[in-house]
Amino acid sequence: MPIVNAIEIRGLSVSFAARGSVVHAVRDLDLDVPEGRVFGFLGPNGAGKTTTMHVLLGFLSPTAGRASLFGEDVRRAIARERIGYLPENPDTYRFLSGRELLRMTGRLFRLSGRILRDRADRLIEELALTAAADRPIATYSRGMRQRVCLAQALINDPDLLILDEPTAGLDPIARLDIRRLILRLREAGKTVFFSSHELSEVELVCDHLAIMAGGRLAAQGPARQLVPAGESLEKFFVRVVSQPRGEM
Amino acid sequence: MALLLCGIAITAAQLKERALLVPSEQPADLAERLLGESRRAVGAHFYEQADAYFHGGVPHTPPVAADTLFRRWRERLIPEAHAHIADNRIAEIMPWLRMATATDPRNVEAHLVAAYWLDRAIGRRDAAEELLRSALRKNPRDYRLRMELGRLCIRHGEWAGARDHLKTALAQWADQPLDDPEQHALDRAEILTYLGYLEEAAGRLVSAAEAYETVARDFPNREGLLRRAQMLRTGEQPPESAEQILRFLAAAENRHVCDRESHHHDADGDADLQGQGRNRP
Amino acid sequence: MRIRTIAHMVWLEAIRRKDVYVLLILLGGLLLALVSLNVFGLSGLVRYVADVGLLGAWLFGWILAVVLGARQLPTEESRGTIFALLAKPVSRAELMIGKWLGAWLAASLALAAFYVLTLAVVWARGGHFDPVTLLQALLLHLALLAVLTALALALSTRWHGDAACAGAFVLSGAAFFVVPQVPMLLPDMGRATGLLLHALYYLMPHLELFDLRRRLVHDWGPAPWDTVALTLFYGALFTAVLLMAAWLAYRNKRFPRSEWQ
Repeated sequence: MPIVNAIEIRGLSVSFAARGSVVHAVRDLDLDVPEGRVFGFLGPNGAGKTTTMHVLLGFLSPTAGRASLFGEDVRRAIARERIGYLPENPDTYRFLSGRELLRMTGRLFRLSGRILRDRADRLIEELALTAAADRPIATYSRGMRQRVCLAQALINDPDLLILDEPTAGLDPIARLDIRRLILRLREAGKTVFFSSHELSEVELVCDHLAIMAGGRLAAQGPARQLVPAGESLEKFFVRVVSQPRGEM
Repeated sequence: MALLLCGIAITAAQLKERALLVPSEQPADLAERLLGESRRAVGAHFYEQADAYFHGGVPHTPPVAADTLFRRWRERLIPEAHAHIADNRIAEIMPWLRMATATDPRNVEAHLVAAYWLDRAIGRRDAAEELLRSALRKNPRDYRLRMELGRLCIRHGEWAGARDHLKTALAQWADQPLDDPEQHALDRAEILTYLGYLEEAAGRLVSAAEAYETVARDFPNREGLLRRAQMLRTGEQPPESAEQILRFLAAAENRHVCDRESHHHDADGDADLQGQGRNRP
Repeated sequence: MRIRTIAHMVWLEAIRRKDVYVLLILLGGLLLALVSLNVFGLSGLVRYVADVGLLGAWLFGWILAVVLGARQLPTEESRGTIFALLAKPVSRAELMIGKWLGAWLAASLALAAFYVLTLAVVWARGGHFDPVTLLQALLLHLALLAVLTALALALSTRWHGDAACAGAFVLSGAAFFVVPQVPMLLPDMGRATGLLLHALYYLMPHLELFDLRRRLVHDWGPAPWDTVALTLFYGALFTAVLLMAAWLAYRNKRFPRSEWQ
């Protein structure tokens, strides 16, 4: 039986027409994310990370190439059955309570009855939202909103979790919670694909890395092999993204 | 929104009126302050609503140029036929006339129509007279209000009062031309005719004859009046006395004359909201 | 189930945003002002209350349908919740139908409340409506709301929420008031303009067909059922066409945040 990657990207290019010129957000990207890994997707602003993620999530159609999630073409809704996604600076339906949000989201995955109820209750407890679960999200703090959005991304018990800058703007305790969650998911055999500018966070949790620069893949591989011994990830990252194309 | 504003304005004014016992034209003042010049358009709309109610909700619509699929479709859903509401439903038009008169106290026609139906169909002569007097305070030079007060008196057999009102109306008539010169002339003829019968009934035969002759000069086809004037001048007794004619006029229903080209007229259609006072005599 | 869930969320938002209650209170205030109107001391007058109550229901139903329809997608996009939503196994067609269904149901519920309030006041004043005509009027009104929400939703796929709202008001207003008058303009038009107007006359929705207030208020009795059924079908057809157009415009739409990053 062939091994199916959680994410498989082949020859992916995404271009936009903007203000009379063409912007190549992603060029000829090949990427494999095996199952069960915590995969750090790095790059400076404008490198094409979010665009790539948005192609994976079906928000954008690629100009060329293809992408699949667990072997399903990302253009099909079914490809998103086994994934969870937390956008950058997430916001949600503030008129709902946290519990309602989780139940509504679960129904979008065709979950219902006791399974949905139990799963929502478990996530509320795990993410320390019990006291606020029945309050409107409009009354939540920023950290609580981040946690409820994360709970929403986990309601279907996803095999692949895509996180876009999950720790951006969070206090140290909230960051620690996210880090613990990612490690727990890895222990449970889940795949986590996340982008971040917080290289220290990435160093602590990722076992695989890919670095984007100028819409191209500049480097990828297991974290321990990719970063030379004695060099910090930060130095390596700066060196990689500043090199002219073709030198890697 | 205009409806809402007007409704609130009128209610507020009524509450204030009850509380302070202020004169009844106060609502108009408030409406005037609230709506400014737009009150004329709003008042005109209410007046049109009253007319539409009189015709079973069917408003005046210009004739349709083309017969289309949608036109035929619409006709099956939305009534367009000409109909008049029954006498016992006349009161239904009154809220709109109330709003029209309260919103635009200068809309004399709305006052005339409201007073007419209040007296004729609803039997509220007191309300009719109060309304006309209230309009008179805002429009003291409008001859039509005096003319209607005169008619009101005739309908109730108060000939001395009628004569006073009609004399004043006649005096004001020349100072106030209407947009419709034909109607203006007809109004004068009506005032003079009524005055003629009233003078005749009071025994002032020369004065009555002069009134009939003036009408006959303006409308030569009214030979009956000219003959009557000649009879009065020669001392001859007309076949019907002035009193009889006045009583007949007081009791007579105005026949409906509808100017709507778009309406299919029913055989029994016999009264028109806008026609009263405008299509007579 | 996904369509139902999306519709349920729209519904909950509409109910919790209090717009409906504000309009209901406004209508109540209007009816109160009307019933307390001193009509020359006459009592028992109710037809004008029914008329203005239904006019309020029309006006407020129209506002709600357009606003609810127009704000769904732009709000999702401006809040960024569209990303979390589309990251679920939800197709854009399901999203579109769910949003429309929720907006339509919420507007319909509000409309039903407006009718109930008007009926209650009318009955309390001793008036009544013919039940069959009332049913027909309500059915056609609901069909109209379906068209209006679909129109606003379709415009919002490409326009900002406020622009979609304004556009839907202008278009539906024109469809209601101007389109029926087009045949009267035709004799004065040149050949090209005449043809254009003629095409417009048949292509634009004839929203005036959905208004049975005159029949209801003035006791003209029920309309022929075959015509009512045909009008309902016409409304459903227009709704389907508008939803299809909305889906075509939205199926490949890129969101601002997906570019330049």
